[in-house]
Amino acid sequence: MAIEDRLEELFMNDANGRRVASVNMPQRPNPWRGVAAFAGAAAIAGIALVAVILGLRGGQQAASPTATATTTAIPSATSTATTAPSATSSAVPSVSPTAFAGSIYSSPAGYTVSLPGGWRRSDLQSRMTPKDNPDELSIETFTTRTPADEAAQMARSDTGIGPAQIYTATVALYRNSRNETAMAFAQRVKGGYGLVPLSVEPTTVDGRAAVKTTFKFATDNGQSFYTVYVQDGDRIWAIGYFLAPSNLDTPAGATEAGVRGIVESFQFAR
Amino acid sequence: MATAPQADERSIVLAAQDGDVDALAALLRSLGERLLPLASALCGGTGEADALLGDTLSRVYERIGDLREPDAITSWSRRVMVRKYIDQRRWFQRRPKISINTVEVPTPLGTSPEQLDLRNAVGKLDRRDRALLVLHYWQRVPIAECARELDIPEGTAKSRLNAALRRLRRELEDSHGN
Repeated sequence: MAIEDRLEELFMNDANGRRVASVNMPQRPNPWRGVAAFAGAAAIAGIALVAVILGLRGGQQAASPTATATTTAIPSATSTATTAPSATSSAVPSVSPTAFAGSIYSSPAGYTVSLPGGWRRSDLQSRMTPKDNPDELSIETFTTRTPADEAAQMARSDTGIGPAQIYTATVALYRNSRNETAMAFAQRVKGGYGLVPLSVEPTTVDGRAAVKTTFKFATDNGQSFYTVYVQDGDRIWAIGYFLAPSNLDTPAGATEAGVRGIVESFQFAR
Repeated sequence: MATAPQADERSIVLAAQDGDVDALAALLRSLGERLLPLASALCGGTGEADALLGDTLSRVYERIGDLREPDAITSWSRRVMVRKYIDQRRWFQRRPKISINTVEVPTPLGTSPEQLDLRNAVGKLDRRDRALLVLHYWQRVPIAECARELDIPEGTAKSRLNAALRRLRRELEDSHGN
Protein backbone atom coordinates (compact mmCIF):
# COMPACT_ATOMS: atom_id res chain seq x y z
CA MET A 1 0.00 0.00 0.00
CA ALA A 2 1.33 3.45 -0.90
CA ILE A 3 2.37 5.64 1.99
CA GLU A 4 -0.28 8.22 1.07
CA ASP A 5 -2.99 5.55 1.46
CA ARG A 6 -1.50 4.35 4.72
CA LEU A 7 -1.52 7.93 6.02
CA GLU A 8 -5.17 8.32 5.09
CA GLU A 9 -5.96 5.09 6.94
CA LEU A 10 -4.00 6.22 9.99
CA PHE A 11 -5.68 9.63 10.17
CA MET A 12 -9.10 8.09 9.55
CA ASN A 13 -8.52 5.69 12.40
CA ASP A 14 -7.49 8.50 14.74
CA ALA A 15 -10.36 10.70 13.62
CA ASN A 16 -13.09 8.17 14.34
CA GLY A 17 -11.98 7.18 17.81
CA ARG A 18 -14.04 9.76 19.71
CA ARG A 19 -17.33 11.55 19.49
CA VAL A 20 -18.70 14.64 21.20
CA ALA A 21 -20.90 13.96 24.22
CA SER A 22 -21.48 17.58 25.15
CA VAL A 23 -20.28 21.09 24.41
CA ASN A 24 -20.58 23.36 27.41
CA MET A 25 -20.86 27.07 26.86
CA PRO A 26 -20.62 29.68 29.60
CA GLN A 27 -23.26 32.32 29.98
CA ARG A 28 -22.78 34.90 27.30
CA PRO A 29 -22.83 38.51 28.51
CA ASN A 30 -26.18 40.07 27.73
CA PRO A 31 -25.71 42.90 25.25
CA TRP A 32 -28.23 44.91 27.24
CA ARG A 33 -26.06 44.64 30.31
CA GLY A 34 -23.82 47.47 29.16
CA VAL A 35 -26.79 49.61 28.24
CA ALA A 36 -28.34 49.05 31.64
CA ALA A 37 -25.11 49.82 33.42
CA PHE A 38 -24.70 52.94 31.34
CA ALA A 39 -28.27 53.99 32.11
CA GLY A 40 -27.70 53.40 35.81
CA ALA A 41 -24.51 55.39 35.75
CA ALA A 42 -26.20 58.17 33.81
CA ALA A 43 -29.01 58.24 36.35
CA ILE A 44 -26.52 58.52 39.19
CA ALA A 45 -24.65 61.27 37.38
CA GLY A 46 -27.86 63.12 36.63
CA ILE A 47 -29.09 62.92 40.19
CA ALA A 48 -25.69 63.93 41.50
CA LEU A 49 -25.64 66.87 39.09
CA VAL A 50 -29.04 68.00 40.35
CA ALA A 51 -27.78 67.64 43.90
CA VAL A 52 -24.68 69.68 43.14
CA ILE A 53 -26.80 72.38 41.56
CA LEU A 54 -29.13 72.40 44.53
CA GLY A 55 -26.13 72.46 46.85
CA LEU A 56 -24.68 75.42 45.01
CA ARG A 57 -27.95 77.16 45.58
CA GLY A 58 -27.28 76.66 49.28
CA GLY A 59 -30.56 74.92 49.98
CA GLN A 60 -30.55 72.86 53.14
CA GLN A 61 -32.94 70.41 51.46
CA ALA A 62 -30.27 69.35 48.92
CA ALA A 63 -28.48 67.06 51.38
CA SER A 64 -31.33 64.63 51.64
CA PRO A 65 -31.88 63.95 47.90
CA THR A 66 -28.13 63.41 47.39
CA ALA A 67 -27.90 60.75 50.04
CA THR A 68 -31.00 58.99 48.84
CA ALA A 69 -29.91 58.98 45.22
CA THR A 70 -26.48 57.47 45.99
CA THR A 71 -27.66 54.64 48.16
CA THR A 72 -30.49 53.54 45.92
CA ALA A 73 -29.10 54.16 42.46
CA ILE A 74 -25.91 52.06 42.83
CA PRO A 75 -27.63 48.89 44.00
CA SER A 76 -30.18 49.41 41.31
CA ALA A 77 -27.58 49.58 38.58
CA THR A 78 -25.76 46.56 39.98
CA SER A 79 -28.91 44.58 40.27
CA THR A 80 -29.84 45.24 36.68
CA ALA A 81 -26.42 44.17 35.46
CA THR A 82 -26.30 40.89 37.33
CA THR A 83 -29.83 39.73 36.86
CA ALA A 84 -30.10 40.44 33.15
CA PRO A 85 -28.00 37.47 31.95
CA SER A 86 -30.04 35.03 33.98
CA ALA A 87 -32.92 35.56 31.59
CA THR A 88 -30.92 33.70 28.99
CA SER A 89 -29.18 31.20 31.23
CA SER A 90 -31.77 28.45 31.06
CA ALA A 91 -30.77 27.45 27.53
CA VAL A 92 -27.19 26.43 28.31
CA PRO A 93 -25.91 25.62 31.78
CA SER A 94 -22.70 27.24 32.87
CA VAL A 95 -19.90 24.90 33.88
CA SER A 96 -16.37 25.39 35.02
CA PRO A 97 -14.04 25.36 32.03
CA THR A 98 -12.05 22.17 32.28
CA ALA A 99 -11.01 20.71 28.96
CA PHE A 100 -10.77 17.13 30.17
CA ALA A 101 -13.62 17.10 32.68
CA GLY A 102 -14.74 13.54 33.08
CA SER A 103 -13.26 12.40 29.81
CA ILE A 104 -11.89 9.07 28.74
CA TYR A 105 -8.37 9.29 27.42
CA SER A 106 -7.75 6.86 24.59
CA SER A 107 -4.05 6.33 23.99
CA PRO A 108 -2.52 5.40 20.66
CA ALA A 109 -0.44 2.97 22.69
CA GLY A 110 -3.57 0.85 23.05
CA TYR A 111 -5.34 1.60 26.32
CA THR A 112 -7.86 3.94 27.91
CA VAL A 113 -8.00 5.65 31.30
CA SER A 114 -10.70 7.82 32.82
CA LEU A 115 -9.53 11.32 33.68
CA PRO A 116 -11.46 13.09 36.44
CA GLY A 117 -12.18 16.80 35.99
CA GLY A 118 -9.02 18.87 36.24
CA TRP A 119 -6.70 16.08 35.15
CA ARG A 120 -4.99 16.12 31.76
CA ARG A 121 -2.34 14.26 29.81
CA SER A 122 1.01 15.94 30.24
CA ASP A 123 2.71 16.86 27.02
CA LEU A 124 5.99 17.54 28.80
CA GLN A 125 6.22 14.22 30.59
CA SER A 126 4.80 11.98 27.87
CA ARG A 127 6.35 10.56 24.74
CA MET A 128 5.46 7.81 22.35
CA THR A 129 8.97 6.83 21.32
CA PRO A 130 11.99 5.55 23.29
CA LYS A 131 14.43 8.10 24.61
CA ASP A 132 17.15 7.20 27.12
CA ASN A 133 15.94 3.64 27.70
CA PRO A 134 15.52 1.90 24.32
CA ASP A 135 13.13 -0.61 25.93
CA GLU A 136 10.77 2.09 27.19
CA LEU A 137 8.54 2.31 24.12
CA SER A 138 6.19 4.96 25.44
CA ILE A 139 5.23 6.73 28.63
CA GLU A 140 2.25 8.94 29.28
CA THR A 141 1.82 11.02 32.40
CA PHE A 142 -1.36 12.52 33.80
CA THR A 143 -1.32 15.57 36.03
CA THR A 144 -3.43 18.39 37.41
CA ARG A 145 -0.66 20.95 37.07
CA THR A 146 -0.87 23.62 34.38
CA PRO A 147 1.76 23.27 31.66
CA ALA A 148 3.54 26.37 32.95
CA ASP A 149 3.61 25.08 36.54
CA GLU A 150 4.69 21.68 35.32
CA ALA A 151 7.57 23.19 33.33
CA ALA A 152 8.67 25.17 36.37
CA GLN A 153 8.56 22.05 38.56
CA MET A 154 10.50 20.04 35.99
CA ALA A 155 13.29 22.56 36.20
CA ARG A 156 13.55 21.74 39.92
CA SER A 157 13.73 17.99 39.39
CA ASP A 158 16.81 16.06 40.31
CA THR A 159 17.55 12.39 39.70
CA GLY A 160 14.85 11.14 42.08
CA ILE A 161 11.08 11.60 41.96
CA GLY A 162 10.94 15.25 40.99
CA PRO A 163 8.29 17.78 41.99
CA ALA A 164 6.67 17.52 38.57
CA GLN A 165 6.09 13.80 39.13
CA ILE A 166 4.36 13.94 42.49
CA TYR A 167 0.66 13.22 42.29
CA THR A 168 0.93 11.98 38.72
CA ALA A 169 -0.31 8.77 37.19
CA THR A 170 1.83 7.16 34.51
CA VAL A 171 1.32 4.43 31.95
CA ALA A 172 4.54 3.11 30.46
CA LEU A 173 5.02 0.39 27.88
CA TYR A 174 8.29 -1.56 27.83
CA ARG A 175 9.77 -3.96 25.35
CA ASN A 176 10.22 -7.21 27.28
CA SER A 177 13.72 -7.67 25.93
CA ARG A 178 14.67 -10.15 28.69
CA ASN A 179 11.53 -12.21 28.15
CA GLU A 180 10.62 -11.87 31.83
CA THR A 181 7.38 -12.59 33.59
CA ALA A 182 5.61 -9.61 35.12
CA MET A 183 6.76 -10.85 38.53
CA ALA A 184 10.39 -11.05 37.45
CA PHE A 185 10.14 -7.62 35.83
CA ALA A 186 8.60 -6.13 38.99
CA GLN A 187 11.25 -7.72 41.20
CA ARG A 188 14.03 -6.34 39.04
CA VAL A 189 12.84 -2.73 38.85
CA LYS A 190 11.41 -2.37 42.34
CA GLY A 191 14.20 -0.29 43.87
CA GLY A 192 15.83 3.02 43.13
CA TYR A 193 14.61 6.55 42.54
CA GLY A 194 14.18 7.21 46.26
CA LEU A 195 11.44 4.60 46.58
CA VAL A 196 11.25 1.70 49.00
CA PRO A 197 9.17 -1.32 47.96
CA LEU A 198 6.80 -2.49 50.69
CA SER A 199 5.27 -5.48 48.94
CA VAL A 200 5.17 -7.30 45.61
CA GLU A 201 2.02 -9.36 45.09
CA PRO A 202 -0.12 -10.89 42.34
CA THR A 203 -3.19 -8.99 41.21
CA THR A 204 -5.26 -8.48 38.05
CA VAL A 205 -5.59 -5.57 35.64
CA ASP A 206 -8.56 -5.49 33.30
CA GLY A 207 -8.97 -9.21 33.84
CA ARG A 208 -5.34 -10.08 33.11
CA ALA A 209 -2.79 -11.47 35.55
CA ALA A 210 -0.54 -8.73 36.90
CA VAL A 211 1.86 -7.90 39.69
CA LYS A 212 1.42 -5.00 42.09
CA THR A 213 4.36 -3.35 43.82
CA THR A 214 3.52 -1.01 46.69
CA PHE A 215 6.05 1.73 47.47
CA LYS A 216 6.75 4.47 49.95
CA PHE A 217 9.24 7.28 49.75
CA ALA A 218 12.60 6.49 51.30
CA THR A 219 12.64 9.85 53.04
CA ASP A 220 9.49 9.49 55.13
CA ASN A 221 6.70 7.15 56.17
CA GLY A 222 3.79 8.86 54.48
CA GLN A 223 1.09 7.23 52.39
CA SER A 224 2.03 4.34 50.16
CA PHE A 225 1.27 4.12 46.44
CA TYR A 226 1.71 1.45 43.82
CA THR A 227 2.55 0.37 40.29
CA VAL A 228 1.10 -2.66 38.54
CA TYR A 229 2.94 -4.61 35.86
CA VAL A 230 1.20 -6.59 33.16
CA GLN A 231 2.83 -8.84 30.62
CA ASP A 232 1.35 -8.36 27.15
CA GLY A 233 3.08 -10.64 24.66
CA ASP A 234 6.59 -9.32 24.19
CA ARG A 235 5.79 -6.16 26.13
CA ILE A 236 5.29 -5.14 29.75
CA TRP A 237 2.90 -2.46 30.88
CA ALA A 238 3.71 -0.44 34.01
CA ILE A 239 0.71 1.48 35.33
CA GLY A 240 1.21 3.44 38.52
CA TYR A 241 1.06 6.67 40.45
CA PHE A 242 3.07 8.74 42.88
CA LEU A 243 1.98 10.69 45.91
CA ALA A 244 4.16 13.33 47.58
CA PRO A 245 6.84 13.07 50.23
CA SER A 246 6.02 15.17 53.27
CA ASN A 247 8.34 18.01 52.25
CA LEU A 248 6.49 18.73 49.01
CA ASP A 249 3.05 20.28 48.58
CA THR A 250 0.21 18.52 46.83
CA PRO A 251 -0.49 20.16 43.45
CA ALA A 252 -3.75 22.09 43.23
CA GLY A 253 -6.68 19.85 42.36
CA ALA A 254 -4.78 16.61 42.95
CA THR A 255 -6.05 14.01 45.40
CA GLU A 256 -4.99 10.51 46.26
CA ALA A 257 -8.38 9.22 45.13
CA GLY A 258 -8.07 11.06 41.82
CA VAL A 259 -4.62 9.83 40.90
CA ARG A 260 -5.30 6.29 42.10
CA GLY A 261 -8.62 6.32 40.23
CA ILE A 262 -6.82 6.96 36.94
CA VAL A 263 -4.67 3.88 37.51
CA GLU A 264 -7.68 1.80 38.52
CA SER A 265 -9.58 2.85 35.39
CA PHE A 266 -6.90 1.46 33.06
CA GLN A 267 -8.31 -0.78 30.34
CA PHE A 268 -6.76 -2.30 27.29
CA ALA A 269 -8.13 -1.02 23.99
CA ARG A 270 -10.54 -3.55 22.61
CA MET B 1 -14.61 15.43 8.44
CA ALA B 2 -15.51 19.12 8.21
CA THR B 3 -18.00 19.71 5.45
CA ALA B 4 -19.68 22.70 3.89
CA PRO B 5 -22.38 24.32 6.05
CA GLN B 6 -25.91 23.20 5.41
CA ALA B 7 -28.48 25.57 3.98
CA ASP B 8 -29.93 26.58 7.32
CA GLU B 9 -26.58 26.96 9.02
CA ARG B 10 -26.25 30.43 7.55
CA SER B 11 -29.33 31.51 9.46
CA ILE B 12 -28.00 29.87 12.63
CA VAL B 13 -24.71 31.75 12.27
CA LEU B 14 -26.55 35.01 11.67
CA ALA B 15 -28.75 34.41 14.72
CA ALA B 16 -25.69 33.59 16.83
CA GLN B 17 -24.06 36.80 15.66
CA ASP B 18 -27.20 38.65 16.75
CA GLY B 19 -26.82 37.29 20.28
CA ASP B 20 -29.20 34.34 20.12
CA VAL B 21 -27.76 32.07 22.82
CA ASP B 22 -29.65 28.98 21.65
CA ALA B 23 -28.36 29.45 18.10
CA LEU B 24 -24.82 29.90 19.37
CA ALA B 25 -25.06 26.74 21.48
CA ALA B 26 -26.42 24.78 18.51
CA LEU B 27 -23.69 26.14 16.25
CA LEU B 28 -20.93 25.23 18.71
CA ARG B 29 -22.35 21.75 19.14
CA SER B 30 -22.54 21.26 15.38
CA LEU B 31 -19.02 22.58 14.82
CA GLY B 32 -17.75 20.44 17.69
CA GLU B 33 -19.13 17.30 16.10
CA ARG B 34 -17.63 18.17 12.72
CA LEU B 35 -14.25 19.34 14.00
CA LEU B 36 -13.51 16.65 16.58
CA PRO B 37 -12.39 14.17 13.89
CA LEU B 38 -9.93 16.76 12.56
CA ALA B 39 -8.68 17.51 16.08
CA SER B 40 -8.26 13.77 16.72
CA ALA B 41 -6.40 13.24 13.47
CA LEU B 42 -4.11 16.18 14.18
CA CYS B 43 -3.43 15.04 17.74
CA GLY B 44 -2.85 11.41 16.85
CA GLY B 45 -6.01 10.12 18.44
CA THR B 46 -5.02 11.36 21.89
CA GLY B 47 -7.11 13.23 24.46
CA GLU B 48 -5.26 16.42 23.52
CA ALA B 49 -7.89 16.69 20.82
CA ASP B 50 -10.42 17.69 23.49
CA ALA B 51 -8.29 20.63 24.57
CA LEU B 52 -7.62 21.68 20.99
CA LEU B 53 -11.31 21.52 20.11
CA GLY B 54 -12.27 23.35 23.31
CA ASP B 55 -9.89 26.17 22.56
CA THR B 56 -10.99 26.36 18.93
CA LEU B 57 -14.65 26.60 19.91
CA SER B 58 -13.72 29.19 22.53
CA ARG B 59 -12.27 31.28 19.74
CA VAL B 60 -15.44 30.87 17.68
CA TYR B 61 -17.49 31.82 20.75
CA GLU B 62 -15.43 34.95 21.30
CA ARG B 63 -15.16 36.03 17.67
CA ILE B 64 -18.38 34.91 16.04
CA GLY B 65 -19.38 38.55 15.68
CA ASP B 66 -16.29 39.26 13.56
CA LEU B 67 -17.09 36.65 10.90
CA ARG B 68 -18.12 38.62 7.81
CA GLU B 69 -19.28 35.71 5.65
CA PRO B 70 -21.52 33.25 7.55
CA ASP B 71 -21.07 30.59 4.86
CA ALA B 72 -17.37 30.48 5.71
CA ILE B 73 -17.98 29.30 9.28
CA THR B 74 -16.63 25.80 8.69
CA SER B 75 -13.49 26.78 6.81
CA TRP B 76 -12.86 29.63 9.23
CA SER B 77 -13.13 27.43 12.31
CA ARG B 78 -11.01 24.73 10.64
CA ARG B 79 -8.32 27.32 9.94
CA VAL B 80 -8.51 28.45 13.59
CA MET B 81 -8.04 24.86 14.72
CA VAL B 82 -5.11 24.11 12.44
CA ARG B 83 -3.30 27.28 13.47
CA LYS B 84 -3.93 26.58 17.14
CA TYR B 85 -2.61 23.05 16.67
CA ILE B 86 0.57 24.35 15.09
CA ASP B 87 1.01 26.97 17.78
CA GLN B 88 0.55 24.36 20.49
CA ARG B 89 2.30 26.22 23.26
CA ARG B 90 -0.14 29.08 23.10
CA TRP B 91 -3.37 27.07 23.09
CA PHE B 92 -2.31 24.56 25.67
CA GLN B 93 -1.55 27.26 28.22
CA ARG B 94 -4.90 28.95 27.82
CA ARG B 95 -7.93 28.00 29.80
CA PRO B 96 -10.71 27.50 27.26
CA LYS B 97 -14.13 29.01 27.86
CA ILE B 98 -15.82 26.12 26.09
CA SER B 99 -15.42 22.70 27.66
CA ILE B 100 -15.87 19.51 25.69
CA ASN B 101 -16.84 16.11 26.92
CA THR B 102 -16.09 13.27 24.56
CA VAL B 103 -16.62 9.55 24.68
CA GLU B 104 -14.51 6.89 23.13
CA VAL B 105 -15.84 5.08 20.09
CA PRO B 106 -14.48 1.56 19.78
CA THR B 107 -12.34 1.39 16.65
CA PRO B 108 -9.41 -0.75 15.63
CA LEU B 109 -6.75 1.54 17.04
CA GLY B 110 -4.06 0.37 14.71
CA THR B 111 -1.74 -1.73 16.79
CA SER B 112 -0.13 -3.68 13.96
CA PRO B 113 3.65 -3.20 13.88
CA GLU B 114 3.38 -1.40 10.53
CA GLN B 115 0.79 1.04 11.83
CA LEU B 116 2.75 1.65 15.03
CA ASP B 117 5.86 2.33 12.96
CA LEU B 118 3.97 4.79 10.78
CA ARG B 119 2.40 6.43 13.84
CA ASN B 120 5.81 6.82 15.45
CA ALA B 121 7.26 8.24 12.25
CA VAL B 122 4.41 10.74 11.87
CA GLY B 123 4.84 11.62 15.54
CA LYS B 124 8.36 12.81 14.83
CA LEU B 125 7.24 15.29 12.20
CA ASP B 126 6.94 19.01 12.75
CA ARG B 127 3.36 19.99 13.64
CA ARG B 128 3.05 22.07 10.48
CA ASP B 129 4.03 19.05 8.39
CA ARG B 130 1.61 16.79 10.19
CA ALA B 131 -1.20 19.32 9.67
CA LEU B 132 -0.31 19.44 5.98
CA LEU B 133 -0.51 15.65 5.71
CA VAL B 134 -3.84 15.51 7.55
CA LEU B 135 -5.40 18.25 5.45
CA HIS B 136 -4.13 16.98 2.11
CA TYR B 137 -4.22 13.20 2.41
CA TRP B 138 -7.18 12.75 4.72
CA GLN B 139 -9.39 15.80 4.26
CA ARG B 140 -8.47 16.00 0.54
CA VAL B 141 -7.87 19.73 0.79
CA PRO B 142 -6.14 21.00 -2.40
CA ILE B 143 -2.54 22.03 -1.87
CA ALA B 144 -3.27 25.71 -2.64
CA GLU B 145 -5.93 25.79 0.07
CA CYS B 146 -3.63 23.95 2.49
CA ALA B 147 -1.08 26.67 1.88
CA ARG B 148 -3.63 29.38 2.69
CA GLU B 149 -4.73 27.59 5.87
CA LEU B 150 -1.13 27.23 7.01
CA ASP B 151 -0.28 30.77 5.93
CA ILE B 152 2.62 29.67 3.73
CA PRO B 153 3.27 30.05 -0.04
CA GLU B 154 1.90 27.26 -2.24
CA GLY B 155 5.39 26.31 -3.41
CA THR B 156 6.51 25.97 0.19
CA ALA B 157 3.52 23.75 0.96
CA LYS B 158 4.43 21.46 -1.97
CA SER B 159 8.07 21.20 -0.98
CA ARG B 160 7.19 20.60 2.68
CA LEU B 161 4.75 17.88 1.71
CA ASN B 162 7.36 16.11 -0.41
CA ALA B 163 10.01 16.50 2.27
CA ALA B 164 7.64 15.09 4.91
CA LEU B 165 6.89 12.05 2.73
CA ARG B 166 10.59 11.48 2.11
CA ARG B 167 11.27 11.66 5.83
CA LEU B 168 8.47 9.23 6.60
CA ARG B 169 9.77 6.74 4.03
CA ARG B 170 13.26 7.04 5.48
CA GLU B 171 11.99 6.54 9.03
CA LEU B 172 10.00 3.48 7.99
CA GLU B 173 12.98 2.00 6.16
CA ASP B 174 15.12 2.54 9.27
CA SER B 175 12.56 0.91 11.53
CA HIS B 176 12.25 -2.06 9.21
CA GLY B 177 16.00 -2.36 9.06
CA ASN B 178 16.29 -2.58 12.86
